[in-house]
Amino acid sequence: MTAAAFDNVCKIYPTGWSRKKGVRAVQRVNLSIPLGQVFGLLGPNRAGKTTLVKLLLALGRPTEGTVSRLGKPASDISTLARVGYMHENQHFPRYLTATELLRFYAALTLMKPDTIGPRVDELLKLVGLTDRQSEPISRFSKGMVQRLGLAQALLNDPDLLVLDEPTEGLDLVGRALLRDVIAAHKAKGKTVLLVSHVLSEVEQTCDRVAVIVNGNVMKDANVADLIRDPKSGEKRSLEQVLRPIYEGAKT
Amino acid sequence: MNLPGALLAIGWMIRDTIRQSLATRLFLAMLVLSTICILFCFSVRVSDQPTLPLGPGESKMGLPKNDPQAKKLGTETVQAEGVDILGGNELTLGFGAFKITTSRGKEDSVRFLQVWLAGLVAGTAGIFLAIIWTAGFLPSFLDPNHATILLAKPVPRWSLLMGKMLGVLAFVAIHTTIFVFGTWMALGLSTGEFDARYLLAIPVLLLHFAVFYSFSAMLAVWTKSTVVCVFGTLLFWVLAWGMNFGRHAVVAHDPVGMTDGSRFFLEAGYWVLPKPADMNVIFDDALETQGFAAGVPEIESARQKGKLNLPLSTLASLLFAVAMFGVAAWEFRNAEY
Repeated sequence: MTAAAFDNVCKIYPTGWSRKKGVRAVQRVNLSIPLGQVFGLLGPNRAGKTTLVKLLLALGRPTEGTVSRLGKPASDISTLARVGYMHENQHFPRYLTATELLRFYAALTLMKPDTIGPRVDELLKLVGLTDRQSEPISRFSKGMVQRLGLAQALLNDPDLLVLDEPTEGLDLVGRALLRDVIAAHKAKGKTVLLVSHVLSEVEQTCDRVAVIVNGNVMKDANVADLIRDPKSGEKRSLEQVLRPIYEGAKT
Repeated sequence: MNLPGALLAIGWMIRDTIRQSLATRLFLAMLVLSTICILFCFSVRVSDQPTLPLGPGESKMGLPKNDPQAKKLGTETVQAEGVDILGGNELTLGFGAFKITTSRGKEDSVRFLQVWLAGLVAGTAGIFLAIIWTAGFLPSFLDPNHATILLAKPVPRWSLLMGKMLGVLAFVAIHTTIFVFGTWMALGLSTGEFDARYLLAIPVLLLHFAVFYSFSAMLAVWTKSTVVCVFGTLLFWVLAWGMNFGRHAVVAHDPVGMTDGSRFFLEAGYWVLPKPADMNVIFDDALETQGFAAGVPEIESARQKGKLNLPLSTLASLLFAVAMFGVAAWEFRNAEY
């Protein structure tokens, strides 16, 4: 069983009044994300990364091909109980407090009621929001909202943790916290799918990456193999490796 | 389908909507308006003169209080002849600040105020405000940056939408109950007249709102725009009133030159669209307002011609609401984020 699998997936977003024309966001993607790995999804802007995440979470349907999540079709929402998702632009209800928000999402994740309270307290402590737990979210900074979003994604101790641009708005301490969370998750044998533009973070945390350009998978390799120069065997940065691919996408 | 999960999601979404109404102070705003109306009802006093008992089918008749003949003969003499003195009652508002001489007795004066409160204040101004103030609830919930996290939870989409819609209906139900029960109690305490039929306004007003909110919900899912929801629903409200009155006017006056095709489309429009005027008639009938207030001639004419079927009309309005909620749920189920 894989954590996620994309089999010959195409996604066209219909445009215009007649909806007959469309923008091809993803084309013939074949990708498999094994269990227990930290998998990075990389690519320039508008490459199709977020579209793949949306297809994985059943927020959209593929035009062609099949998507599976934790061994079942993505359309089967029962497996979402084992998934945690941190969105890139999180807009939480501003009238709720941090505690109320986590309790609300925990209930919708179908967690057992008696486990919700202790888990919420534990996560607020983990992300450093215990002292602000009773304040409405409207008073939170962007970094605090990101931390709350991370706590929200971890509520059900998910088997598959999907992080879409999680470092956005996080300070140094926040980024270190995120790295620790990812490492701890991997240590438990769980899977993390990390979508990010911050290549240094990806290099430090991911076991494997796929590079998407113009809706196609251009690379799918272990990070260790990717950053080693095949000719000289010297170690390069991920940025050095990917820059030619990204620049090729612009032309 | 995960029914326990769906029910749990509905419960939490209702709770969240009430919380939202409290946080945005919408709850407080409606409570203040209801309190003003309840205080107004507390200020009402009606002085009642003894009147002659009415026989079955007999309508109230008499001489105005300032009629020269009545003045000359005196109240007791005139009443001894079986003729009532009208206009002897006094309705005071604002704890005596305003005095209105009325020919209605105490019971009719209170019922007149109740019809005014339920029909004009709550049934028109209240529903108008409720449509505007609650129009933003669904579009803000459907905003992609907010909704995507909810949609990535293992509960059916329809349950999230239904929970939000039921939350808005629960919010309106709470305020309708506060308004109707509060004004009923206040009028009862200040005048001694407790007419329980007035409480029928609670389900009638809620049905009235639900029918138009269902249309607002459909627009919200379709466009995710508060502006479209507000103006679209208000326009639709006007259209529904127009269609309702227009159909009864055609039935009443039977205009010459109207083709069978036009009549068919008018009937189809009448039965498909919500019927707000008919919903008001239900309330008027319950309070038997015909005895002291003139009804709408077109509606009365349609009734006399057997073309006003209130149970069927209510059922049709209810079916419209269910269909609109169904379309909204279907659209939301298939929406891509």
